[in-house]
Amino acid sequence: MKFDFNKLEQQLGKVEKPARYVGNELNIIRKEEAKLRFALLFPDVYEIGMSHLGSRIIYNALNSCEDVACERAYAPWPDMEKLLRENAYPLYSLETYTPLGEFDIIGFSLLYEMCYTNILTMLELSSIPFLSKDRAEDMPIVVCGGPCTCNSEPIADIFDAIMIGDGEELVVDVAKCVMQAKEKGCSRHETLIALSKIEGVYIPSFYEPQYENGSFKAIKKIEPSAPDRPTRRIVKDLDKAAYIGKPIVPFLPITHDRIALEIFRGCTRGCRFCQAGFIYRPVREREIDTVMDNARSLINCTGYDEISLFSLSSGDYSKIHELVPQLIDEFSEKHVSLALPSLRIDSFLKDDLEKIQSVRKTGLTFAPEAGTQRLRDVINKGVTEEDLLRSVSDAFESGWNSVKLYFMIGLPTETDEDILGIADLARKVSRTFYSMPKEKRGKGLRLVVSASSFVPKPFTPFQWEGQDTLEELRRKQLLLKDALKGIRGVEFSYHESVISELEAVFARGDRRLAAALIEAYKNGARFDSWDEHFKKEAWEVAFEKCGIDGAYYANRRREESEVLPWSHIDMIVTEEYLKKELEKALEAKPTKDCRKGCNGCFGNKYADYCKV
Amino acid sequence: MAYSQGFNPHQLVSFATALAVGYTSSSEWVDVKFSQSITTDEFVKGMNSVLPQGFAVAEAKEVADNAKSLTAIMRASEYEITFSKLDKNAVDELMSSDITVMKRTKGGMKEVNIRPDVFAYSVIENKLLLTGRLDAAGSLNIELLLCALKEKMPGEWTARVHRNNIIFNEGEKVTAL
Repeated sequence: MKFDFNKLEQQLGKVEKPARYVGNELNIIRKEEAKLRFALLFPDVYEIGMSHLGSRIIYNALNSCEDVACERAYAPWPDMEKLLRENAYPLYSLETYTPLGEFDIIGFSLLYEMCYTNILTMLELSSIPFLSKDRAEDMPIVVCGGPCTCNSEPIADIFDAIMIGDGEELVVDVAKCVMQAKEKGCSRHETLIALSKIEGVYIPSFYEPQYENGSFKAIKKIEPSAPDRPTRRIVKDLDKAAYIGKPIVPFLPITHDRIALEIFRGCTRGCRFCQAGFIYRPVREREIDTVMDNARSLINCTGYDEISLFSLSSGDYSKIHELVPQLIDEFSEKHVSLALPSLRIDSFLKDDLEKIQSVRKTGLTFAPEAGTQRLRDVINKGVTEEDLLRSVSDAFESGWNSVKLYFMIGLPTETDEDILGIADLARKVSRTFYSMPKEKRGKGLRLVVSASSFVPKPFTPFQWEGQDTLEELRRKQLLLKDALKGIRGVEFSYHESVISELEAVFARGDRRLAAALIEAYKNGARFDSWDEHFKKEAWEVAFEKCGIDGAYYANRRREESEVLPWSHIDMIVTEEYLKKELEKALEAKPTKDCRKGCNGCFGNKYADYCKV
Repeated sequence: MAYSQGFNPHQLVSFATALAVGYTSSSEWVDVKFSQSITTDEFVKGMNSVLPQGFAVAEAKEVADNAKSLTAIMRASEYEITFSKLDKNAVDELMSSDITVMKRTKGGMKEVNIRPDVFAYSVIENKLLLTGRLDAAGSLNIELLLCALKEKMPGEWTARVHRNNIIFNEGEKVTAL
């Protein structure tokens, strides 16, 4: 397949933001010679994909191998997709403008279910069949990684191999394995057998689902040599693991346009709705020295003027009160500012706030998640109203006047009282601000109350719970909207719940969904996480045609005796533990932070994985 | 590098003018202010060691601290527009009288004559060489000119716009690379 990038370049003026498609950014890695070419794909637009930290780690880890060339591609925006199709251009890598079909491996980062149709766009524009079973011997091996792989069943038929867990070592093992198989002249099937021996790899075609009366019953291993339960890969020591090397600096502003400094992985809190809190266990911290070294070299090789600490809960970093002043001391004279996202209310100190303030003022975000203490106990969000009010009061006193509060609606056991509790909390925050003397507080309060719709996720204690119906979610949104009226400074933001419902279907779906996904794609579904692109009818028609009942996946409460479509995957945290957590949730009993003592989530088999 | 004062300090770097998306150029000028002294040679070498492929600093000049900004002294830009096909007669006809186009302004769409913005032009085969106004108050809008040309020269054609040069006043003509 010959492809003339120069010809395409002449036409790029016709599409929005052509800089998305030209490559050549600062710190890009080009290799003329490589034994294995790996295309690293992100099934969303460039600005989103370039903001993904994991992809940057993978890019560096792969390119650090002498024989491997890793190149990037992102989903073309609909205008670019049209341009490519009209001219019969293939989708190509940004490093060397090589059509993706010419790579040895094509690897997708899958971070959210609503990007799945874009996988199909990217495969089709590369002339690669959608389904693994339809691919010819000489075609690329199509793989994926990222949080969606903990239940990859809805897309299992698309992928030749799936990588579960931390990627930085796993992806290198996969690349080397395919490289060796290629050198030996192995068939596709032989290559997959070899891949299945790597810890963290799941070969979907080696397992076959069984259904009974229209319900999923179990999954059966059909390749004797494959592991009984593919197991999540864990990087034990982050200080020794690859980080992002010299990150690529884009030509156009991206969503997270700053240095992301990962300080630790995992979280000890155990919020019961939070998939990341379970699937990234155990907590592994980087040493302060490693973090500072990374910060220095990243600033030097990029010229960025902002650093953001990255983790699931940065305030929980055991040495946060040493790290923050060190970073500020070293970088403020270089005009580099520090942002602290995902801070928890209870782990925040006023001193730190004032230091951040001295460099640059960014918005403050708090996530109480639920409106009443009872419901916060159900979800194990160990935060009290007092914590929140004290923190916002500290923030207001330090001159902040822009605060965002995140909540979820549709949580298990939720009643209208819990919804109205959100408005009460917002009112108290607003009063805290306006009860302060005028000279002590900022100009006007901007209090954003954001309510997302709860989506039950696999490998959380709520994986058996049903999602509220669309009607119920909409009723609750309006109830809250009404209750927030008249509170000074409040803005209410919420999302289209149809998208949350579809997300719930795919999050806990089985292999029967692949047909509906392909059908929806054919009906024009693209970029489904974008409100402006979401095509409700495309999905409705597809579900109808494929005989899929969304409620079976999204709204139904599952029996604890049921075999779940993802239970053949070993995510290290045991199912018994999740069941115990669910029981405690329904009794509104909290579970302690595991830094305060082990709760036994790994069972006996993996107990020694956790050093907390 | 020197930084601006104020609550949100930023680096004192300002390009003489922006280049439209999709155009190419072999002459862009930028003012950079430093907090400590640096030779032009050090600057050129340092920049060229880190700039992405296709970008290079060709030349640097030291100017007095109180020198006027590039934006204040720029006067014109030289363009080389390469057409897939070009009719010299159509260009001559276009240039022989007022070129009235609709321009978006603060007060809505307005009719303006852009012919005075074209200082000089010549046609060589399928290339149109053009010197157009470029100063702080306004500039020749190439897109509008090409739209006007479309009326004189119907049919399917494409044009690639390349900036060869920016001309500054005070007799300081900057040479093309």
